[in-house]
Amino acid sequence: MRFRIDFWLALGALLTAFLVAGMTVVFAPIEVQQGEVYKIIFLHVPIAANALGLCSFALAVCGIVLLLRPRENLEKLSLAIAEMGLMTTFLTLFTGSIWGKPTWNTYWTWDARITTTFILFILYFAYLALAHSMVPGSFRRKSLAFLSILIAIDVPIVYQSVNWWRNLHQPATIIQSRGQSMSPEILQYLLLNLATITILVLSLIYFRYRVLLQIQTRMASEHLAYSHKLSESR
Amino acid sequence: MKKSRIFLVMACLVLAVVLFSFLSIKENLVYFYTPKEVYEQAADLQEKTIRVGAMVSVDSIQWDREQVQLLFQVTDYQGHDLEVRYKGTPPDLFKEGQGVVIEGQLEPEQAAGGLYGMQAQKLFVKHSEEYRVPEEGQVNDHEMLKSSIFKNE
Repeated sequence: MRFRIDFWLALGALLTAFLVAGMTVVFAPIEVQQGEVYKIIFLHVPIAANALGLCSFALAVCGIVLLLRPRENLEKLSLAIAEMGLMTTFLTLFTGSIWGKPTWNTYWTWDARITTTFILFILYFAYLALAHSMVPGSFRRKSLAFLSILIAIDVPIVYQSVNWWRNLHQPATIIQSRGQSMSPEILQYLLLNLATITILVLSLIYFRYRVLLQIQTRMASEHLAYSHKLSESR
Repeated sequence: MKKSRIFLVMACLVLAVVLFSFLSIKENLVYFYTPKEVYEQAADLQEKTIRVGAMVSVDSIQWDREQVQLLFQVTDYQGHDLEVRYKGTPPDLFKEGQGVVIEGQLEPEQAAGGLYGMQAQKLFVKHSEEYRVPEEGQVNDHEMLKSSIFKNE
């Protein structure tokens, strides 16, 4: 068996992300209001950034390219991206929920930020349900492209929700016009975790993509072997 | 074939939920009222469960340990104050000058001085987008918190 670069890449990225996150929890300074509990931000924000900024736009680009130029490989890649999108969106809601209890005094509330993120989760879910239930072909490509565009439309709404409407969720910290609202000591740890988690997400997408391709090749060769067997028995 | 039909039905259901949530978002765009809006629309808000976002007034917190009853006032710093009664322990980040969102009912009678009261079932803390390392002699900057609570008034 040949050296599986995709597997070792994903494993390495996973271990690195764990190590960096663990070290961050130990070494990052405490926050003036929240003390230690704010440290879940080092998971919550990078994961959310990947769900919103990476997976959704990558999925929409794939969907549109597929409409113009249908390719089997790109369909597998979209599937891998959508799965990662569902995962990261779920983890965004999950880590946010854990953070919400000790700070906001609730795990969940239907404010605009959480509701629009929940819609994103449902949309990824719908994408995967459709991808697996429809017959491969141009109608599926069109339906999936449509859903991926819905996902991409929801992303700026999620992002702007804290600016447009009143929320329990606090407004954006890093990208905003009102000056620096995060101490540089905290920001550097956040950016470090953003880097490792983005690499992890990318490598997991690549790993899953390779696995999907492999399943396809295996199924094709089994199919071929089976039809050989049929023709011999005749 | 049967399996894919189940998936298709699930996908349709999911899309219906999405559509429904988009619609309900439009109806409930206001997550909480500000104290100013409460005073302006007091007649309409009676006997409804509403949320109000404001900031905890300085020197207003009374905590009854035996009764597990929290009594405090909230303000928008523009003369619209509310008296809040909450049965339960105060959340960790609850303190003077903190942002809060309270969920409950407006009391029908105004107290002396025209102050409205609220019976709260839920008490959420709304903190700002600031994350700072503790430093010598720092004061909490409330401007960010204020601007995220008292907006679109």
